[in-house]
Amino acid sequence: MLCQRCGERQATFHYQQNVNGKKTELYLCEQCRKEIGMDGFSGNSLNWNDFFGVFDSPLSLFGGNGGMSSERVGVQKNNAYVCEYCGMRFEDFRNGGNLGCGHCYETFKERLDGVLKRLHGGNRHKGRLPEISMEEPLEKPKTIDEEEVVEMKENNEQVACQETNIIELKSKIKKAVASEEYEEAARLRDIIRRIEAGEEI
Amino acid sequence: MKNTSIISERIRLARNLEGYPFPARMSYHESEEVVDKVWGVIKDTDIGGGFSLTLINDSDMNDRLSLVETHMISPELAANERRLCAAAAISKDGQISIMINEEDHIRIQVIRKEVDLDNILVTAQKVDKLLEVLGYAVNSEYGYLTACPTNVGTGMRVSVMMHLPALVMTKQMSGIFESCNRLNIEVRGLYGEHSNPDGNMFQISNRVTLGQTEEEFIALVGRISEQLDQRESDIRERIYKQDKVAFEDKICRSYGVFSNARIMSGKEALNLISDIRMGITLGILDLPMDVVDEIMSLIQTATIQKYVGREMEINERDMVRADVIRDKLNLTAVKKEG
Repeated sequence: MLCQRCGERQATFHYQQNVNGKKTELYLCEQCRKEIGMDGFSGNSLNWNDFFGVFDSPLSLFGGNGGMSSERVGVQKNNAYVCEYCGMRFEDFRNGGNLGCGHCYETFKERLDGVLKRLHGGNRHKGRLPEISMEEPLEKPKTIDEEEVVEMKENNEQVACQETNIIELKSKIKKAVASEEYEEAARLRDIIRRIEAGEEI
Repeated sequence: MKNTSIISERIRLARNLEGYPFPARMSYHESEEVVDKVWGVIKDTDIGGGFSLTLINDSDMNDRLSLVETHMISPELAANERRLCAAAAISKDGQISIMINEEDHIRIQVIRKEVDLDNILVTAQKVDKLLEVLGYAVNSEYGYLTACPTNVGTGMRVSVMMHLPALVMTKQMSGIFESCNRLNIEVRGLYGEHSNPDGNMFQISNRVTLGQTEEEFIALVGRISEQLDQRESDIRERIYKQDKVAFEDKICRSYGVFSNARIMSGKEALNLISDIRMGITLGILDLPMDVVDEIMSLIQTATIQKYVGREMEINERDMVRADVIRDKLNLTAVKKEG
């Protein structure tokens, strides 16, 4: 089979897809594959084991057969080995996969912290964040005892009131997005921005 | 800034939606929902002159590869190995593309010829802010959450496409690879081999995406590309001054072949374009760089087939490539022999 891109050299790579009965195939030679940047594409080229320290190796955490060592895993906070949201196993990630969903970052936090440090040099975000976030922060909110809440309400009723408004607005945005009313969602987002910027509404 | 060697600059933002697993673990139905949601937000905007949506599964492979060659989509999206509902929303001005359900749900990319990364970021963030109403997967410690941890944080990759023939000629690239590596900057050949690519085209980008602000990453890539540009420019002038006639002879011969050949392979064209670009920046050739850029984009294998509207065998393609080059250089008046 000749390469479908250059039609000149023998194809050494074969991609195939079949969606709703429609089959598409792609045959590429090594050079064309490189030229369009497809090398390193099939099968994640990163070997995450390079980014794990000796003490975080599969042997020390999971035992030699890759099975779970309940003693170690059970007691460590944030050290769960399966993400409850998407079913991703930490082992799959380590064996060259990607993470399964946003929640994996929290589920595997303790071990990811080290990986991210080695990859990026730092492991805390310093850039921008969305001006509104649909979800509550992933860390648990600080517990405040009732007296403090009463005090806060009395002292800062206006702020508390604005916070309630923001929560309500966020829930309205969610509903608007669910019903595909994106203009309404954007309008509500702008109101939140103005509240947060301290403007009078 | 004086620009000798920068061909284009690009910023890419990787984003995912809260409430959906990343594409690798997504169902086809979920992937359709994500495409619908993203397109729902984008379809009415006038940023970039408005957008049109290309569904990858409905496009034939040549069209997809042509979008790869023109840097509008990635090879991964073209292959769509996950067999999801995948799409690309591309702006009418050809500067913005939003890939949907590639490795991440959303990849916003802005690419421009101007040397102005700060403004490119402004445009990318405009699109980002529009899509933000869909609810991104974020975390205050790790920033924007991505399928691959190499993209987490800002989710931002800043790339500068550079043409560095003098640095290649004087065998300086391997030293540059090493120093850039130490600075967490990645240098890769744009076409062909890594160390000595066809056409001497390279892409400079940040390897790291977490732990610094968007502006800091942009400043780093901008600074490195400016330094490379300055060095490339100095060496070009030095080589030229060493033996003016020999250098002009080489450039003009390349232009002669480029503008007269009847059969032209892609590789030969890229190497001739490299000389021609250099000749233009040194004032040896009087030719608009835009025309050269257009030819460079047009003569790639899949794009030229799309341009003429049919698939071709290699021999025919090489002949058509030569025709297209002469046509674009306005030299069609030269009659074919025989």
